[in-house]
Amino acid sequence: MDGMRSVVGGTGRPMERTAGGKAGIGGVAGAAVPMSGRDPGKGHGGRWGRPAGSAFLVATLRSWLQSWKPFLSILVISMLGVAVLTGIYAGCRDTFLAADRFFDAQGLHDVQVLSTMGLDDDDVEALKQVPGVRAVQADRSQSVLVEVDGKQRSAVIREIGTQGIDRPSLQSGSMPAKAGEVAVTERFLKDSGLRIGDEIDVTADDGTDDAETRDGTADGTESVGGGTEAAPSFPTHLRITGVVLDPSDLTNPNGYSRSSFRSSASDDYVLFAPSDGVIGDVYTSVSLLVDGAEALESFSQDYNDLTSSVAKRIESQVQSTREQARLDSLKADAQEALDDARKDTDTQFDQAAQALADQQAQLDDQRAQLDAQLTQLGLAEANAPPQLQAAIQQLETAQTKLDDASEDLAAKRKDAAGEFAKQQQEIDDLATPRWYVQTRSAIGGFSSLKSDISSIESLGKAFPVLFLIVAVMMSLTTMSRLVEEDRGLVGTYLGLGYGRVTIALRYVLFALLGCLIGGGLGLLVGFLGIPAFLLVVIKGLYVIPDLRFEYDWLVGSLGVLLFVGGVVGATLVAVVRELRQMPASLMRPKSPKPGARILLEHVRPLWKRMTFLNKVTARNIFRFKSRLIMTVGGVAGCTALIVCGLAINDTVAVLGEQQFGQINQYDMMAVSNDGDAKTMRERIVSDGQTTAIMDVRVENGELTNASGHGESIQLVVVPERQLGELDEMLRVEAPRSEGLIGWAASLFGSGRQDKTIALDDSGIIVAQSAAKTLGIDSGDRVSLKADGFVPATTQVHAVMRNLLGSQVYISEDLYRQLFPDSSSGDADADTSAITWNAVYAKLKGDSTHQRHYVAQLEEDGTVMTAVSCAQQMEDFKFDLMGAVVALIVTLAGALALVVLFTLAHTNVSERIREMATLKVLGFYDREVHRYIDREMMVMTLMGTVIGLPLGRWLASLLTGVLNMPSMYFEVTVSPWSYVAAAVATLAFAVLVQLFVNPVLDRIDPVSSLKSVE
Amino acid sequence: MAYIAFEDVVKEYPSGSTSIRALDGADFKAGEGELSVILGQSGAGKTTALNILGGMDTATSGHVVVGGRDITHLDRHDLITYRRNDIGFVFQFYNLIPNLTALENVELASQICADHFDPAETLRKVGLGDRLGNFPAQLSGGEQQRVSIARAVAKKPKLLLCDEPTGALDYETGREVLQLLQDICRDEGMTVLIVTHNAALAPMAHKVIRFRSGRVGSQDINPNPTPIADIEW
Repeated sequence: MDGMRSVVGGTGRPMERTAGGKAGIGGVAGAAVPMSGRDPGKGHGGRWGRPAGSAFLVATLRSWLQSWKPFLSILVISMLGVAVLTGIYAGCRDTFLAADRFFDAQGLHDVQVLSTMGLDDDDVEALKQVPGVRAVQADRSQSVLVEVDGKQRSAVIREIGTQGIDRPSLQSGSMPAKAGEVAVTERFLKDSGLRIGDEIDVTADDGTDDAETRDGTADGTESVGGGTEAAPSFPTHLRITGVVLDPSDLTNPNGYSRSSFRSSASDDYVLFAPSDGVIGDVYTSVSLLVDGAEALESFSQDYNDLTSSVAKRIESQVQSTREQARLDSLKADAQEALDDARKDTDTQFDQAAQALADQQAQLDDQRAQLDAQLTQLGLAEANAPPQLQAAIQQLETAQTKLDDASEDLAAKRKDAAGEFAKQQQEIDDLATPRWYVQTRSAIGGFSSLKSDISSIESLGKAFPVLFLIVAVMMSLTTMSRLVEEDRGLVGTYLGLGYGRVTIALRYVLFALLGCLIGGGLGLLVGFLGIPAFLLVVIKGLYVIPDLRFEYDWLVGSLGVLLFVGGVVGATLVAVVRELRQMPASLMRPKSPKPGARILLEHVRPLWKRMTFLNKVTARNIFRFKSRLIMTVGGVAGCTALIVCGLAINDTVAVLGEQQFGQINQYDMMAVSNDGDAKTMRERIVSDGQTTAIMDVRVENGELTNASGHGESIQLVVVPERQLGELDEMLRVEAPRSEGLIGWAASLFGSGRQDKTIALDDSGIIVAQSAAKTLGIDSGDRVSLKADGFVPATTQVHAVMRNLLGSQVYISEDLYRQLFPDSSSGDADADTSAITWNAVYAKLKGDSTHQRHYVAQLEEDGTVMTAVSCAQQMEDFKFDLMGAVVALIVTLAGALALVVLFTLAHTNVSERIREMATLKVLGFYDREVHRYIDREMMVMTLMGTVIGLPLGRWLASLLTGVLNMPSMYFEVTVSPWSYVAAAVATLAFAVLVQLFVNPVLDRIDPVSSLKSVE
Repeated sequence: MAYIAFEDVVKEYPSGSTSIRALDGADFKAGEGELSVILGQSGAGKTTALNILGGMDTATSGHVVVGGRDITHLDRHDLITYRRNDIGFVFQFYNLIPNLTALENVELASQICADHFDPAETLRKVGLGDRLGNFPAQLSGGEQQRVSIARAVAKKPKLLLCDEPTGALDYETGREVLQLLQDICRDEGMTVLIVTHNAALAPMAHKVIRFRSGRVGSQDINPNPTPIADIEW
């Protein structure tokens, strides 16, 4: 053993060159001879062999220092991967957690119960008894009109909760404490230009407009009349005492995306008033907190399950009984009032009749006296004396009057009976109140935050997978090369009796160290850097107090562990492959990869025409198959990531143009309150700016698919006489086919005719952007709910191509058939018909002119909202997505750089000897560069060519993942994105060459003289 | 001026604070069209001399003349040009490009020289006329070294430098390779310099230069070189 060591030990590692340079030549081959055929595992103390001494450790550490380049590439790849894996997730999580904290602090309701006819104390009591309900708060609110910037705008004035539920958060000023004080949102101050201390006047809104159901529900009781209950009513002269943040609407009023497609301009303002001064004992809604919900994250599935289960319980246990009870009590109250009224009236009539009867009796008496006098006088009536004649005359007149009076009374009595009967009919016809039990997902602010952030989060889940694959590929390449370089050394150690595990550890620990340091740095970037960037954008969109960086131990650790697993696994594969060989064969130089003819050479005409160096390049590319696969795969992956990022960007960028410029053929949509509809239409017509007008009714509705999943939608009712004109205002066509087929079709089919769809009475047309979310298709049966009506089942006639918004188009006849107007009776159904509260119009002039006109029109008090498509197209942006895409493209670019660098480095280190030989032969530096660079360039080009369509395909997968309500991502990739991705990748390749070329220059031609490693 | 002259050449390698002198005033000459052998033990400085002659290294001081041209102070680019046009190099381990056939390996060298021999013809001359299309892995060691020699010769160099050309070959094959070098020197009139530690090769050379501790110990001229076939060792 000692003798052997002296022989082998003398060889050292050939590459660890001393000044003289030639000391080791010939040593390795010689040393291998006495070793041949020995298995080091046997007779040396088992698998571990010799314990790893300090010399081994020192040598290991030194070799690590020398291999800083592979170390760096493992480190950077792990860092990028962990950063991508955790970063987007962390940014979203920070947002979710902060929002959750805020919701908990303000006691945002978990479940809210609304009723079409308000709720009473008994309802509140019943809800309190439902298992799982922790707290209950009865809310009173009133729809009002308030003047904002010279226009009457609808607002909701809400009582500040008495049980600590849905408390607004005070931002400045003080909370309103007594009657006549009010707190407002920042948006209200911004839009109205008012300040704290200013006073406002509100007028009760009669509730006939298309305000949301929840705001108008309490009004239902009024029509019954005569009841003892009163709808909530707030003081009308109010002083602003403070600015508050409404937990149910976190939209940033100062954000740059105020005009984005998502926040509709018709949102009601919310005013918060204290209980003091509020009259009325019918509640608009009842808000509930669920037991144990506070501990859960508001956006988690657990939370959703818990609150939905309570909502379901309310629906199944309480709802119908309370609905009936409420109806009964309403009926009883009304009946009692009616009965009282009837009794009163009857009494009055009876008294009047009695008075008449008394008068008749008097009259009769007088007549009798007169008759007696006449009889006494023995005179006939005709020749009675003049006084008597006059008396008779008087009596007859009185009689006539009395008869008239009693006729009158009888008529009045009949009228009253009719009136009572009508009221009785109304009471009897009183529809059962309908409850709506809603969870937080019904809160617009909550669900838009959730869907915005979730869509980003889903991107953050898809991308790291690619990073992981690339990371594993790269570490396999890097570590294989490292182990291969140390081939002789590994053989020597094995020969010295070191165990395989010890030797393997040398490399595994190397990779592990790189991975852990990289992972640690990645966690820093992931939990601080990327969220910091994302939060800037998120803060621009939403106001969320106390938004801070938070670390997630589980995801952080798992993220690092994932990459450690991948990289160390790849290292083990590389090491084991080498260690399996005999030490003797390890110490012999690895026979160089034999050259071979490549397929291209058989294409004689082509091969003959290639220059010599091109032939060499071609053969070299196919010589190292694994390197070819790694390089092409790695580059293709990175290019694909870049294309994919840019594709998402392009897709989002053209959304506005496609929707507002192409699908919406109309130039303007204007909506008014029901009462102002006529005036608005007259105004628009008299302005003479339109070339075509179409009346529609626009209202809020809800569409529910077969599995019970519902989404709020915008229901557009199209008048029967204008059904044929719909396709003039909108491009009503079938959705474009998805995936590669659609892509291929779109390449050739610019002249393709899309079949237009006609709206008829057989069913509704659903916008693609809404249909996608609900997973519905033409022919499906769905449940549609119009504003203030009970849901009705209908059929989807077709799905139309639409990217933004969630419109559902329905014909006038079908609408009337599904939602019969019960309150207005039956006889005049046709005349009472639908109020056309909105118009689609085509305008004259260019887009600037149109925008100007629409802005002017919106100033009109009768116009609730008027939107110009030209304006919307200009305003449309989706900054959050843009930010994430920028992030992803940057990271993908960084990854591409690392991959190319790693591969270039491996490529060069594998072929140092070849390079040195070329130098001895007299190749100039530039020729040596070209010899290597050309290969890298060709492989990069191949990778790019594969990566471009791959990226397009990935983009279609990803936009499928980004399933956001009221948005449909129709994958569009601008040719420039392909160009940009290709240019970026090639630029990276050139950049890497700039790094690699000096390395090539430093290769000493003398090293070609050394023995083969 | 001699065709090849090494005049008082010093080569120092910095080593920490001190420096190591690999060549310490080495001095020798070699004539045009002659075959010279440099002999010496490991560390005697013969490899350093070879590197300097081959244009892979420069002398610290002194003068180096090859083909009547002073190459002592050439810059990096000129050194490469010098290697490209004036030097043919035969390696101990052949250093063939594994991915190129025998013919292509020769072409690799000839295509960068304006004035060169026909690669296929050169290979035929070294006896590999029927192995043109073979890759190095398909050739024996001796055959590979012949390709290496053909590659060096095809450039029509002023000086053919051979570094232990038989070091990796067995006895018989080594003799054949040396015979080939001797033939080339004689038939083509090429100046050949062989660096070796095998003193038995001395009789085949016109001139034998012995290195010792960075200096030239002795220079012996051999008016009648012995054909390699007559040398045994």
